[in-house]
Amino acid sequence: MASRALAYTSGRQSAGAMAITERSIRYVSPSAASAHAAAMDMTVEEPPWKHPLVLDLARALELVEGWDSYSAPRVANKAVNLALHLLEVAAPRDAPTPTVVPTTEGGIQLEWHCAGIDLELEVSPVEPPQFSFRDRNENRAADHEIGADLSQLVGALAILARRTSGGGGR
Amino acid sequence: MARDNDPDILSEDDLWRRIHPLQIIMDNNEGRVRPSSQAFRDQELSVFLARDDTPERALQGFADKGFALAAITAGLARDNAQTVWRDPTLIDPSHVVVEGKKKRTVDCVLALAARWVGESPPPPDRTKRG
Repeated sequence: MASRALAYTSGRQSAGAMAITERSIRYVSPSAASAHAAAMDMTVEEPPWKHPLVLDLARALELVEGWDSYSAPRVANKAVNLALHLLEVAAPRDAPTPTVVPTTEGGIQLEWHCAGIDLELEVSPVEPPQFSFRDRNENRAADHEIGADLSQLVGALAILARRTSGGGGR
Repeated sequence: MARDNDPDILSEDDLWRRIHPLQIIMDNNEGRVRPSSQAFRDQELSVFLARDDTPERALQGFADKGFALAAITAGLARDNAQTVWRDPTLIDPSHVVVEGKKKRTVDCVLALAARWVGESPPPPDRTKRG
């Protein structure tokens, strides 16, 4: 199958490459990139959530049309690519790994439900990505559409990471 | 096409939705396994009228693939601006549609209220995630 070559390179520069092809995500060992980075005296370290996230996204890409037993389309490559990219850009290293949920319109939803926070990031193949953030401890909730400005998503993921790493209590 | 509520479907009637295994999540805030909000997102949500069906039939051909059945009441759907009407088919005579916009609020309400039909499915293997 011809690759649509949705090539994705780590935002942490030279930490390896992840090539997302038509129906698979191919994680390329970073050894070559590491050697290159080492030569340039760069630190190469992926965040812990990244590898399991990529595996789960790859599993979602394997779903066939009608996977939900009703009439859901296949998960769109571009939704997977964008979801991965958004986390790469917005999620801190110590963020917990999200649960990957395929959507019935061919997109991806990344979910976190822990430490009193419910965060759902939905990446649709046809609409701008959006997320809902609910903090049970602070009794606040909001929905956001994501445009060029990722600051709200960055903020939400930072709160989540802080809370789950012991900085805010459960 | 928008339809009227079917008066034959009572508020206390259970409606069953088949849940794909990848739409089963561990909610650590709730301390339980539940369906994702995405399982209730469709504007025309296909469900089965429980009193006209059996779990075995509703899951026929899907149980061995890890699917589960989750129940909500028709009353809850209606309380959240949904219309509930019969749409029987040859394959699914108990088929019902829950129609209405659900994005980002209603879908969460339905997912949090959903009860498993029978035993709760086991926590997915990604339970250590957020």
